[in-house]
Amino acid sequence: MPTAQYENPLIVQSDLTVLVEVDSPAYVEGRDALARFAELVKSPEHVHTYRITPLSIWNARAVGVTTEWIRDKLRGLSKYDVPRHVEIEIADYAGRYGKLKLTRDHRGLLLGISEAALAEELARHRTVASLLARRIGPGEFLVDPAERGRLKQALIKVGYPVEDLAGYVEGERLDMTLRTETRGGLPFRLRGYQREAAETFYAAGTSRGGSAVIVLPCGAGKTIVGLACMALLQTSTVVLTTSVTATRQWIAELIDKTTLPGEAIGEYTGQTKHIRPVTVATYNILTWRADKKGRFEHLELFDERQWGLIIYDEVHLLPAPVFQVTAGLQARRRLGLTATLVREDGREDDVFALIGPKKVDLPWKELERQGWIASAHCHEVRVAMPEALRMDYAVASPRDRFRIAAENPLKKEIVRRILSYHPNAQTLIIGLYVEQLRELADELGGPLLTGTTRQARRDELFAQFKAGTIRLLAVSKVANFAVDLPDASVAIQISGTFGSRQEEAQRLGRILRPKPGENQAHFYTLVSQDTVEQDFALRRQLFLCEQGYEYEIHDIEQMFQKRLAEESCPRLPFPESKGASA
Amino acid sequence: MPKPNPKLILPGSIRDFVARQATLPVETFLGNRETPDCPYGQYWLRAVAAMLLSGRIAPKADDFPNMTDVNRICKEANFDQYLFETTSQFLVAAEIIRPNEQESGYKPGKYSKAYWNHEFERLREAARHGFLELVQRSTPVRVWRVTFAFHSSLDSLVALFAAAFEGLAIPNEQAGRIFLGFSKLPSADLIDLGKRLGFKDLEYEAASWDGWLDEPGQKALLAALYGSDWAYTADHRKQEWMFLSDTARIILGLLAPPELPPPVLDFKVLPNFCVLAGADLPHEKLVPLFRHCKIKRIDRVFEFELNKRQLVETSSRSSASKLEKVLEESGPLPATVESLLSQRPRVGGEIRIRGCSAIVQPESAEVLDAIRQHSHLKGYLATGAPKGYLLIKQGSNPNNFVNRCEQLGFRINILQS
Repeated sequence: MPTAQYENPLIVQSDLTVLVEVDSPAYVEGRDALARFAELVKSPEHVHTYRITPLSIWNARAVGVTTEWIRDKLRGLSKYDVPRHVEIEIADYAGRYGKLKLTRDHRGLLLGISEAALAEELARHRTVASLLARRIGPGEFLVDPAERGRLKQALIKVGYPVEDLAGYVEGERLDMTLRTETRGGLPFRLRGYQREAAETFYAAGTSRGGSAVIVLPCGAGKTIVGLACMALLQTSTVVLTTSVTATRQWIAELIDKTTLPGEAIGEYTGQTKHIRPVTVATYNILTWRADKKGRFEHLELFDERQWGLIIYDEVHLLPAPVFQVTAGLQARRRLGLTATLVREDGREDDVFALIGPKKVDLPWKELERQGWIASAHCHEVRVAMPEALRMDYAVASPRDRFRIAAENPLKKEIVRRILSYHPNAQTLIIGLYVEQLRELADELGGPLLTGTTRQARRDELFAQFKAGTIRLLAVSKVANFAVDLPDASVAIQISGTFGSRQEEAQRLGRILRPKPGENQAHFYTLVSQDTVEQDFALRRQLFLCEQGYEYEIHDIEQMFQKRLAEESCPRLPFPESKGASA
Repeated sequence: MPKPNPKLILPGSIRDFVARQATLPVETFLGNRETPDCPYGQYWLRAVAAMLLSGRIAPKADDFPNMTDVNRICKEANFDQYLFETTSQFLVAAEIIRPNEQESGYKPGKYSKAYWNHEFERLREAARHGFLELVQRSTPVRVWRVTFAFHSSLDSLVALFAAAFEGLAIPNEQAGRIFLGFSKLPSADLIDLGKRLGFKDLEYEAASWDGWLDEPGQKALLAALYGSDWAYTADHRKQEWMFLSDTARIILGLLAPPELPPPVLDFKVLPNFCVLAGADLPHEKLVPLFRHCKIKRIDRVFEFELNKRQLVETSSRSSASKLEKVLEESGPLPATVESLLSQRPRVGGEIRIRGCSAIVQPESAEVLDAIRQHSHLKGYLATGAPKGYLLIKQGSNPNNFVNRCEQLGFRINILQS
């Protein structure tokens, strides 16, 4: 094999996964090429894994990537020959995109099918046929506009994505621009990748844009991308979020960074229900109903105004009833925002069909390299179990074992020690068990925020934390999502929800907002040694390891024995770790 | 497909025989391929060989692998168990792998080195041997033959057949009969064709081939052809067709062996416990991975997962240390992996065992004390019971103890028989 080929970064496997060697001189070219037609599955050090799927190919076709381009890139950048059937499958998937087009003319909404045989097959398919109004030509069907979403959903399920070129209804006009200086007096402008993401979504206002999913890491400014899209479209907007706190943060950002007056922005939550040209609502309120068989009365929000744009924050959490109503909202522009498009229920194809194709996806480490998110150091600190608890642990049931290990009282001392290493840092202590958090918060003299904390108190605590009047905040899992605490630079996780990878990533995300100065964040997870908690910790860390983060593992017993001098390495608290540094 | 040899002119009877058969061009099924694959160089074959050598599969009495073990490992690796079965049978038949009677597993066979190092001439010898061994094993025991299949030169018959039917597929259901018909063609013409192909004198063999191709023999021949990867079947217009593969042509000397593709020698240990290992790595490196890791993907780069449970439950530290040694060859290990490997195994240490005939759990300390003190009951009890329990002596019948207790007014609740 020629040397140049041996240095190529891609290894194409026969099951359509692609391994990418990070140390290859052509890595950047390989990564940029793959980003257009494959999904990043994991990105640990040295080798990243991508997967080519029908959805990833259709996403690529949606932004104009051709089959030939994909084939040439794979051949040109592969270390070994590309398996022949892989090329055939890619061509097959790609060929399906564009065979079906939704357009609109004087006759109404039309589904055009370019192949006669396919038109016959689909016309006879039970589910698809029930969603087609009338056949008006060999490959043309009239479609009821109310069935536009459900038809797209049904067609993607049978393996044929629809290119939706039927356009959108124009919403009520809304004059707004992004400010160059925030109301707080700080200079503000879009970062390059934020502008590109918004413009990709907008597509110069044509029907080729207007529906997309944008994937950016926690802390990369997804909200800002949402604001930029709104500013491009100048239309009334509904923003859907995961919690009241997130709703208020959206509203605060809208007020701070756009020219919208406060009275143009409404909050629609369990507590307040104002419908304004820009309305920010929670998924919870939309899916609320009086009883199991009752109707979702708040879904009527979508009919209250002539909305021009719907933004789905954390689209990977979109609940099923909102999917249903979104199927009926295909004439509105739709923007999905998320840090990870992986849905636990496997409904990624519904996101593609109903919200739109994924048009932007930036890896975490890439933004860290560019300095847009903080550089994070992850530490796992192993804490021995007290001798007195060892026997209780040994004879306990599996569920109790986890709790005994998670609530290991020796963790408190370690938390104190870690805090002493970061005397001036804004620190979050995150845990699963409220009692454990309460004890710790009491001992350390910090406030505690849990699910039962009233919203007003939450807002007050977040505001104090942001202002720096409190340096330490103990939070339960209510703070896992969409809580913007830009100055937090240290997070200490004392317990977590078993092996949840998503929770670990979301908790790290709380401290990734860029910081002034060294732009560094420290994430500590305390784990009881030789217990089930250690096993769960391995699982929890997988997502972040796959995103390129590496955990330093510290044996606290060893550390105490050696009495490490803090002065020897003031920045990194545990210099003599057992493993390599991150 | 490789182009037919233009210099080869078939003797008249053979040419007429071919012309009389229903045939289809092989391109109908395969399209226009440019170069044939390297025989037995595919990654899945190497994976099967490594899995057999891993010690996770025991052989049966006939030397072929135990299918319970095969199903378990194939499920883990998401690998087709039927492909595993046929491939492993060929590897054993060809003496690339052989059973290890001492350890109830497999060990490298006579042709193992040739196989792992892609030594073509030795591999050709192994493949022909494997084919004939499969014919022998597929022939029912009750069927009498003058010689063993090793002396039949049926591989040469297949070579002549492949030369005659070059680029053509035949109906699968008639394949056995067509082979029989072919073997009955005038010996002189078969020998003549053999000479043109450069085979040694086939006089004796050509006269006896038809004796091998009775109905059970036809089935055995076809089974060996498929098992050795020498023939494939494909559907065309609701009919199944059979054709000889490039592997067969290369092994039988009808086609030049292709150049070896660049070896896949990548080897990386990643912090997320993933190990990537190229299929062309030596088996000394691959086998410990297949033994101690969870197999995640069988492809040109194998993917494994270092699994804590699998590592700490392993019974042998010495064999686990082989894994550590192999992993260290990939370069400095990530902290997470190093930490995982350093965890002590949960097996080992001293355990003390004693016998008893039943364990008694009194509802309270008072009840326990009452039994221990009672003159009719205390004789049943052994010393050294765990706190809160009583042990019935090994030699005592627990039913007697139960009866006595009932007579004395204790309520009995048998927890488990």
